[in-house]
Amino acid sequence: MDVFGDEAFNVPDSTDWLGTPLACLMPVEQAFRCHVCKDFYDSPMLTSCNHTFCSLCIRRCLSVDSKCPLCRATDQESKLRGNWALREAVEAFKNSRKVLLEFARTPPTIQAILPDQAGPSSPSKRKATEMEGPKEEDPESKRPRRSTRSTRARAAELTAAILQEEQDTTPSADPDYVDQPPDDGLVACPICLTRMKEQQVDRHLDTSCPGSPQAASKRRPIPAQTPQPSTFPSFNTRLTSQTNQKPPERLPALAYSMLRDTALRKKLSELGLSTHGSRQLLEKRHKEWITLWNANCDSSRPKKRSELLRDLDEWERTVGNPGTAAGGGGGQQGLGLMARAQATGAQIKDKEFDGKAWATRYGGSFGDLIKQARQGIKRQTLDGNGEKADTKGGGGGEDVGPAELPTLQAREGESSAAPTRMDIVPPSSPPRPGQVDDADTEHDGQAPGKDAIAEDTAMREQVIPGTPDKERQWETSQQQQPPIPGDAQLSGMKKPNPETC
Amino acid sequence: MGDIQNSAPTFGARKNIDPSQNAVKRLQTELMQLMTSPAPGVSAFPSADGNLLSWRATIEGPEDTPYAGLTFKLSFEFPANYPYAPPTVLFRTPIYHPNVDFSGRICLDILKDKWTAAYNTQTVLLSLQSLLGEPNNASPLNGEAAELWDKDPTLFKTKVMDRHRDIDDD
Repeated sequence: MDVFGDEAFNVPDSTDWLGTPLACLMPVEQAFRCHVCKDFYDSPMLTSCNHTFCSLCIRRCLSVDSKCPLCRATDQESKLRGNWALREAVEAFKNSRKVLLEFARTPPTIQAILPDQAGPSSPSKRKATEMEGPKEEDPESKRPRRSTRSTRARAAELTAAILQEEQDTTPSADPDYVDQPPDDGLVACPICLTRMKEQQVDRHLDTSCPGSPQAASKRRPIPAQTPQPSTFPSFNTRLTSQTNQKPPERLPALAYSMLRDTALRKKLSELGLSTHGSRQLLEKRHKEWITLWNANCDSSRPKKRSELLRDLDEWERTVGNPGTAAGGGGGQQGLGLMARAQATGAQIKDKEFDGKAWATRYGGSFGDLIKQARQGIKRQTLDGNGEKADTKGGGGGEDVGPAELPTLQAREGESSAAPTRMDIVPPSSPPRPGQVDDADTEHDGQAPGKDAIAEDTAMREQVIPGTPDKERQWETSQQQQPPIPGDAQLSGMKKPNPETC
Repeated sequence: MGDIQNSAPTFGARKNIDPSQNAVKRLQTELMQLMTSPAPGVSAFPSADGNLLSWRATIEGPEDTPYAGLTFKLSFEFPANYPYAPPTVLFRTPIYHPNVDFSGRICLDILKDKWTAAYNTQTVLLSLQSLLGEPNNASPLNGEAAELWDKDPTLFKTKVMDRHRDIDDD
């Protein structure tokens, strides 16, 4: 079932904890994730209704319908407030997540690590060994006894041990935890840790206590109690980074209806943004820039302007274009195509859709697609993958990118002898066309083929966004029509037709 | 299935899986959730062409409804600005239901104006599952079904069974 390669499945998410002894962390992680993007909160913001979302997520939502995605209460961007405590909590959790997860997933090896980490330097551990028996019995010697238990129980125990460990080491300021008190009948000053008789403490505190445990030399050498960097993310730097940094100014929203085209273009060029495209696109671009910019203002580590511009560019390529329901494109060319695809998508779904006319009108394009697909299959067959040609044809082509050889071959080979149409559908009929057929016949024959066409168009639209990385690339791929993967090609050929052509 | 598995490596390299794309990233997370902690009676998975913006889903008809024991396949097409816009959901299995037309299109508010970005594939599927048992007969796409639902449950059930057909998987 690994159709999507590893990367599709290696997305960290809260269910990673399931099946580990730390499954109880799943709801914890869920609480740290935004309901909109499902990722960890990025610059979490509180709404007026006390819900929290990533800054960018809630700003986008509000720009769509001015409502909280969780309770539909109306809200405005200007009322959002940063949820800084949550931001810290999320950061801390993210920092420790990897270690925790590794620990949870590999109980046996962790056990080997544990004694090292918690070795003699750990006071609580030492305390335990001292109480339990001879000092020379180091934790290693206990392992055989433990290993008789089930892995799960052991892991759970270790988990508890680690948690205990953390609890023990965390309050490092508390002198009681610093070291095993020597058996000298003295007590330590709670502030400077100097050891003295119990009766002396009060006077010492009032008069001679230096105030902080700097007098380390007077104490028995104490094992370093440096807190783990991950548990104590440099508090000072965090503070300074917040105070020293001059936060970038938020941009005000524009009342677009009050602006003429020229004024809007001027605004855009003032911001250093592209002034190309339709009025609608200009507005959307400006709006998106404001959203990106203002969300960035909420971030503890604001991105550079150039990075934001890259984000905007990506938005332009994927969602930017007017009314885009699906797909994307690059640059002006792409946007035009997108708009067209969008329009046709709606058209096809319309009840009055005329499948026959559609088929006639686009017969040429489909012919091209068919030829290309055929070439692809031929190539596959030559490669000795004959019967797998259907699916392989899909992956093989775009694996290497749009500017790749088979596509060119296909175009050159257009004049080559054309097999009958049925040849294209491989022996083991490809999933998509098969299913499309089915749907057609099943749906009472009402609007025959309409669904198939709608579906295929949808596919074509969707195929586009991922393909280009750069605008230029995209244009190239467009010239080499079509940038559609083989699988889509296969179903694309059926498009004009089911029963009509 | 064999075909799909054999072609896995090439599909894996597909550029559609570009995590920098918000919609895709979110869908990946949803997929993980659906796979590792599935809800009873519903399932969803990206369609076999490797396009993460196009999914196939199944819903099992709830008990004590005319759809009990039946399985329905659906298609999800996610827009590039998902989750800020809803997915397009269609019943691929022919279904006789007051709020589903003969092309499989669904009339459900949360897929239209009541959509919010906090919904996800699983919540949509669960909503659809409950829609099977509680149709909104006030705004039917299939008028006859809406009428029969109250008037003649037996005939309704017959029509449901007549219409239902297992379709090939892809």
